[in-house]
Amino acid sequence: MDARTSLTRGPLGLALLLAGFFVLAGVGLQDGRYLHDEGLLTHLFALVTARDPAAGFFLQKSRPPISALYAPLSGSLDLFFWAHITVGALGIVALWGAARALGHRVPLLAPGVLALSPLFIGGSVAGLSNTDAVTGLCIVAWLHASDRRVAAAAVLGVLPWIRAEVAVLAVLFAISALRHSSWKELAALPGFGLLYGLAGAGYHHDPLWFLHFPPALPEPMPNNPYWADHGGAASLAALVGAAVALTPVLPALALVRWKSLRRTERLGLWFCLVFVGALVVLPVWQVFNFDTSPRYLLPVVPFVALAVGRAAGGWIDELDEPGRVALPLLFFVAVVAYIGAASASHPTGLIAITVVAVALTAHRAAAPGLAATTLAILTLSGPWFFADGGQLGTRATVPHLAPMIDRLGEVVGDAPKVVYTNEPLLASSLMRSGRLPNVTVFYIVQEDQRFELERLANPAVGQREALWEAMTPNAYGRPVRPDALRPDTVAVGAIFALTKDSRLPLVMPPARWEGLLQVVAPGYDMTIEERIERRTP
Amino acid sequence: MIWRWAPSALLCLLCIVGVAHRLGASAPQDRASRQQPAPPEAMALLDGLQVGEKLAGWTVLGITGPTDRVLRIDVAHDEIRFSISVAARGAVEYPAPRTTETYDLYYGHPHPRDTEIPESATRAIMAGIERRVRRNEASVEVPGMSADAP
Repeated sequence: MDARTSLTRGPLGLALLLAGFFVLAGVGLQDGRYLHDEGLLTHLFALVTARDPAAGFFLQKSRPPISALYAPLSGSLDLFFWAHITVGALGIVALWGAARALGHRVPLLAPGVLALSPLFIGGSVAGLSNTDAVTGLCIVAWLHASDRRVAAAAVLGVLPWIRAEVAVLAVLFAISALRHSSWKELAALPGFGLLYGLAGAGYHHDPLWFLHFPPALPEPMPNNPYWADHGGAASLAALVGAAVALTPVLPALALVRWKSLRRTERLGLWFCLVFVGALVVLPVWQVFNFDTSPRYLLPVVPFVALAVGRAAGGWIDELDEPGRVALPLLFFVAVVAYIGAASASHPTGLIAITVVAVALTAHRAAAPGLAATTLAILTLSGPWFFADGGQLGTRATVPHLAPMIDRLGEVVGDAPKVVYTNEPLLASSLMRSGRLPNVTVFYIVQEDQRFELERLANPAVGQREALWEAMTPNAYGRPVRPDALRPDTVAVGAIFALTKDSRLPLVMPPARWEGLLQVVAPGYDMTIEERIERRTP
Repeated sequence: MIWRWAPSALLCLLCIVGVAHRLGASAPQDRASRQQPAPPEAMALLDGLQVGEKLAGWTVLGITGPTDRVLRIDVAHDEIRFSISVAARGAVEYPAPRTTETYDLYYGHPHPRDTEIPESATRAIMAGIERRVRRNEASVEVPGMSADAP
C-alpha cells in the first residue's frame, strides 16, 4: 500500500481521523460547552454501580452494560468523560472495519462521516449513552459485514440495555435471520437478555423481575406538569436542523443506489427508516418518556455513513453512480427543507442540500472525483456549521446556567454557603470551573425523578434504599429527596438557586414555603432566593 | 451532454435562490409575535405604549396577548430581543421581579436564546413599564386578564 492509498484508505488515514476526533472532543470538553444532564446521568449510574454493584447492575434503568464498563472510572468526572470519548473513537474504528469488510473503495469515508458528525462529537463529550449505543451498532455492522453474524447478533442483543430504542434493529435483524433461516443468529440475539435475566432473578428473587421492573416507565408519572410544557411533536424546522446535525451529508442518501448496497447496508437503511419513523411519532403519544431531543436519532448515523461512503467511494473509481430517482428525491427533500427553514434561525438544511446538489451536478458533468470531494468537504464542515440543530450545547439547553452562577456568586460572596438547586448542571459546572468553592450544593430531586427511580427499583430486596444510599454522596450535588425538603430541614440563610420548572411546586409547594423565601436575584428562567425567618404579611 | 447535468444544476440554482430567500427573509417570528395583538385596553393600561416606541433605548416590537392572563411586550436592540410580561396576579406561579397593586412583571424569552440581557436594560425597562401600569391599573380593566377569564 503506497502512502497516498494509506492516507485515504488505510490505517494512516484512520489515525489522522481519530486524532481529529480527539482534538475536537478535547476542545469541547475543555471549554465545558457540552455539559448535559443526561451525560451526568450516565456518570451517576456508573458511580452507583461502583458503590453498589448488584443494586446498580440489576436496575435496568441504569443501562447496565455501560454502567459496569464505566464504573471503575467513575471516581473522576474528567476521567469518565475521556473514557466515554474513547468509546466513541472505538465506534469510528469499528465502522472503518465495517467499510473495509464491505469492500468500500474509500473505507475512510464512512468513519469520517461518523467522526465529524456534530451530534456524535457532542454526545461523546457529554457522556450521552446514545453514542455508546452508536459504538455498539458500529461493532454490530463490522461483525455483520465480516460474516460473523452470530457474534453480531450477540452484541446487538446487548444494545437495548444501553438504549432501549435500538431494539428496533434487533427486531429487523431477527426478521432478516428468519428469512435466511439463520437459526444460530436468532438464538444468539437474546443471549445477553437471558443471561442478565437469569442472573437478576437471583438478586431480585423474582423470575419475571425484568418485566416487573422495566428499563423505562411504560407511561409518564400521572399528572406530571412537565409534559404539559413539552409538546410531543417536533417542528419541521427542528427535524431538518437535527438531520444535518447528525451529519450534513444526510441528504446525500438521495444519491445512493439501492442496488449497489450489500445486505448489511440495506438492513441498516431499513433500520433508519423504521427507527426515524418511530422516534418522530412516539413522542406525540409520550410513550417510554421519549421527548424530541435530536440525540435519540444518533443510531442512524453509522448506517447513513456506510451508505453514503459506499456511494461516494464508488463514484471515484466510476464503479457506481447516483440512482435514477436521485434528482426527484433531492428535489423533494429540498422542498421539505425550504418549508422547514421558514421557522428556523438559519436554513442549514437547505444549504446542505445545495452542496449535495452541487455534488450530483459534478457527477453528472463527468467529474465524479469532484462530486466525492464536495461531499467530503460538506462532511468536514459539520462540526463548525451544522452543530446548532443538535441542541446539545449547554448554552442552548440551559441558557440561564451562566447567569445563574454569576448571580449566585454575587449573592453568596466568599462566605461558606449551602445552596439548594433543582438545576442538575450547577454542581458539576461549579466543580469543573473551580468557581464558588465555598458553596455546598444540594440537589433537589424532582418528584418525577423519585417516582421513576422507585417505580423501576425493587423495594422487596432493598434495591430502592441501596440506590438512594449509593447516590447520597453525589447525584448532581448532594441529593435531597422530595420528602426531606421541608422548611424545618433547611437552615435560615440557605440559598435556593432555582431553574424555572413546572415540576418544582410538587416538591416545594408554594403554600408550605410562603413567607419563608425571599427573592434576592430575580429572573425569568431562574431565580435566586434566600431562606428567611417567617415573614408575617 | 447538457441534458445529463442541467436538471441537477437547475436544482442547485433553485436551492441557492431558496437559501438566499430564507436568509433575506425577516427573522423568524417567535411564538409571541404570532399571538393576537393586544386590545386597546391593554395599550391604555400601558399608558398608550406604541409599537416602535423606545424604552430605555430599546424598541418596542410588539404588544400581544393576553394569553393565559399575560400580556407580552417584545423589545429589541440591535440583534437582541427579549420580552416583558405583565401578568395578572396569580397567573404565573413564580416570584415576580417587580409587582404593582394587581399585576406581576417578569422578563425573559431572550433571542438569540443564549443571550444574557444586560441587567441595566431589564431594570430600566421594567421600571418604566411598572410606572405606566401603576398609573392606569385602577382605572383600566383589560379583557382576558381577570381571574375568571377563559
